[in-house]
Amino acid sequence: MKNKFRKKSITFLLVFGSITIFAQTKYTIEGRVIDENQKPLPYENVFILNTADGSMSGDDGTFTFTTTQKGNVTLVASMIGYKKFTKEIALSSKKITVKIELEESIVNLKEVIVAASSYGSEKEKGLVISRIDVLTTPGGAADIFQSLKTLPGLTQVSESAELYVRGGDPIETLTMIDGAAFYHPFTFESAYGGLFSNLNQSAVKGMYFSSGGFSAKYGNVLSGVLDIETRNQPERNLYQFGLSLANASFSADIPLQENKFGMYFDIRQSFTKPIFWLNGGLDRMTVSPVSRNGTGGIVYSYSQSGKLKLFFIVADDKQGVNVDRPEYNGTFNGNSKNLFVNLRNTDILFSNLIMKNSLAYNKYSNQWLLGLLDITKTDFVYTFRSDFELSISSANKILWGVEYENRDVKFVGKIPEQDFDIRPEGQSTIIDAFFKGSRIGGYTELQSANPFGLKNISVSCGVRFDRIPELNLNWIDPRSSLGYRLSEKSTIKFGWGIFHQLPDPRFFRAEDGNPNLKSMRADHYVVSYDYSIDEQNSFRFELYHKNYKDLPKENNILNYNNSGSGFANGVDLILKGTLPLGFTGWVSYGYINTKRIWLDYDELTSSSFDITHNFSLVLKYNLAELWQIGINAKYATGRPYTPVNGSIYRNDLKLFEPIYAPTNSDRFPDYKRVDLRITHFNQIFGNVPIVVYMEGLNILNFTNIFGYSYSPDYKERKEIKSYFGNRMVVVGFTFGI
Amino acid sequence: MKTNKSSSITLLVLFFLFTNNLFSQNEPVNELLKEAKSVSDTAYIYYNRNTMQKAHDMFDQVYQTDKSNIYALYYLTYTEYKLLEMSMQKGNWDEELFDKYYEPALSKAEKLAAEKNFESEGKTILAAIYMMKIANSAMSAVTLSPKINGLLNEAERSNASNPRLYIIRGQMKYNTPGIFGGSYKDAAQNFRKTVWLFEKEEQKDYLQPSWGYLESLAWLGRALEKLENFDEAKFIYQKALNVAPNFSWVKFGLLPKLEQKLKEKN
Repeated sequence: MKNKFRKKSITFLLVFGSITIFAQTKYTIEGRVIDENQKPLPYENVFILNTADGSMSGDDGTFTFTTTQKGNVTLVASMIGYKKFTKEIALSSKKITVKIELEESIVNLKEVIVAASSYGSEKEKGLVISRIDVLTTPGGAADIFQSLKTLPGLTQVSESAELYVRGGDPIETLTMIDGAAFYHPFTFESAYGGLFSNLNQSAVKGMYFSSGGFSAKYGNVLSGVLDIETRNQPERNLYQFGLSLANASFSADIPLQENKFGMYFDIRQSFTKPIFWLNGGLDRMTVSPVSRNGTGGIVYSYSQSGKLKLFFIVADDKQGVNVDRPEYNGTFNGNSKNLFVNLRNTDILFSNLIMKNSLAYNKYSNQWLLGLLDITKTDFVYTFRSDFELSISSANKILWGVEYENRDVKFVGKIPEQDFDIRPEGQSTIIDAFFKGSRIGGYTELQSANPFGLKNISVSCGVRFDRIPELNLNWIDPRSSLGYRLSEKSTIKFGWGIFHQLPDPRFFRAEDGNPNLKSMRADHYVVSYDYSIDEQNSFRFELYHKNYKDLPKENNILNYNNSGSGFANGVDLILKGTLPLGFTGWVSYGYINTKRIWLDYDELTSSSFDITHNFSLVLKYNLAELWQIGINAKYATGRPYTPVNGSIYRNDLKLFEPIYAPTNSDRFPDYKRVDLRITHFNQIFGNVPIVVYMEGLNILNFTNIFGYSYSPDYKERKEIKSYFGNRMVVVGFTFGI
Repeated sequence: MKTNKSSSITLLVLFFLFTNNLFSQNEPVNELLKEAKSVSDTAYIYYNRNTMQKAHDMFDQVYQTDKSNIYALYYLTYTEYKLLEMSMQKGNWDEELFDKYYEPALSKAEKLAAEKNFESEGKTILAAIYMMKIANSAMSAVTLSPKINGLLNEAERSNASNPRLYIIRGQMKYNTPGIFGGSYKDAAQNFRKTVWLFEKEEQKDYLQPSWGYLESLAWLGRALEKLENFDEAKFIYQKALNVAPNFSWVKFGLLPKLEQKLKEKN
């Protein structure tokens, strides 16, 4: 009986339970997720908070799911870059339809428009040149500038790290670190230019490089921009030590408070004596080039979006090289000191406004000594800059900003009165010149994707204003770019703009310059075609025309006026990614025709930067999992120079004076160089990473000439090679814990 | 016990191989593969090295008997890939196990990648094995990352609807430091795409590769946590547990930790 009852009870409970289960109401929630422009947002999770009930939106943004929850529930949808959607819904009817429109919220640093001629560390900034590209470019010594020189539009004028962009002088390219101008980013600055950059690549978080047609936010620059963003606080402790035939380095990443506060630094000492001893060339040196460099940052995140970053570079170098000149054989001694400090603040205000402020100080000094030449240059720069980016919708952004710069440049010492007489007993001119200049600038720019509903079109229009109070000089530069997406993978872009820049401060000296000189001007026109094969492979073809006006030109009465002009026309090509036979890297070619009438040029003449053909091939191949071999092959047309046709004997000076042929009427032989690098990556003592490398510079030992030295009567000439012109081998390693 | 079972499996396989009827030849082999696949799924859910090893041995038996069986080759490679992953389990690192399977897994994956009909799956699993090498020896990332990216691109060109290739791409994006191209945002996008592809995929044949759904949910949750999207991460973890209530990684690891984090936050 008892058993019977129990059986009945169980049966009852089972039936009742089943009824209860089956009676549970299922509600269907469906809808569509779209953005403010009614564009569907796919792969978006829509769900009921604190449950597993939900589903993902499809390609058309639609979603549907069922729930057995009851009463009021919270429906959630969130997507990166959009404000979180939450809505209380009452589960009253069996089918509930919800329209979810997500508003863009988190403003990010990516630009709406990628302008023509742009290269960046992230795809949003242009054709990607990443830190790993910099690190593994053979012959580049992991130097950002040397690696950038393999891009089209950058001409191989010398082996220095200076950037000659599309026929422009190196001073026409602006280097910025966290928003602050950095006018002397090189070590070993001499007549041949700076050899390497002062900025260690390990400090770099991101970079943007443009060879023309860039945004209105960059002022007082004619040809190119390199905009570098330094790293944030490190996430973990890391100590690295490196040693090679050319330098020793130590770096540390020290997080002090997780994701909030941390610091990093890198100190290095170069000593080129071992490589010159091993590879030859030591006899040319009285002081082998040595440099010391410290780079570091202290970063504090005071809120989720706010950051304070103190970044510094401190560097010095010295060198002593034997120089043979017709009138004098002596030693060129050079040294320089550099200090750069920048305090940067970034924050996001009102959820859609990015603010970036920077306050920077840079003190640079260098001294050149050769014969009677004894000149010391000091350059003090203070800058303040404030930039804002307001996202007004998912497709429109307004940028604006102001900047103030104070630059004091001082030249003290003596220079030869005649450039052909540098003998210690020669005639000299005493120099004690001080140029003080400040600049106030401001800009605004509108960036819009699909303006007025025009699909596949992106537009950017900007204007900037600059004023030099001391010279009572103002200029206004309008700039714009237009992009049209031909397909998912290809885009055509047009860029146009007016660019102004003050000439080098030395042209403003009252005695031999003109304090009333105006700014130089260049008008850029760029047409660019980009084809992105996939995330790793891209192709770019560009045509450009640059028109120079108001360049400084020698004048009998005023010393200099602004009657100089010129042009640069060219084609740039680059293919980057996976190349045949398992190689990765890039191949680039640049053609340029540039002529100027400026300085002492009598007529429109090839400028010293007119390198007609520039070809670079950077190839990397992974031999095995831990071995990589890389080749960097370069070819460039020889640089124009002014040859000496003869000489006359100057009785008064007791030496020969050269008679020059027309300016830049000849060219040096073509430049050819192949660098090779073999890298081995491994771990020792368990998990301590070690990188061992061997680099062969100019392995085919091509003779590359950057000048001639003449006999005293100028009848015979000898070739001058650069410091690193001979075939050289460098071996080294780095390891970190 | 194990030996008896193995012997009977071998006998069964041999018996059916010697018959002429194609249908009767494939059927038990497929049943065995299905059984082994089920064991490997369980091994992943419980994240159990021994069970995964058992699944591996079952696939190996079939493969040794018929080296032209593409599914046997595929799942054998898959289990070796998972054993490589499991050899690096936190607190239970087994270098010997890694060394035992790394080279064999690579050569099998290369063979698969060369199969026309398995190109996308083969290249994806080859990329996944290279990724294991990076996890084992971080320095190899410099040389292997481009290789992995290249393989995944090729896998995508071959079959853009293969959800597994986006899991591996997402893991690469997740684990690569930002300065070298990593991004939690890009990782999340890849995992989302994987989940979406899995959810719309209709599996016609049980032996078709289907691994990765739970994995992609777990990884998506992790990426969402990094992006501080905690509510969605929790939903994703719960969703994973709805599919497999004993999914140990989420059940004992990710979800309790997230709940603890949310508790501390509130």
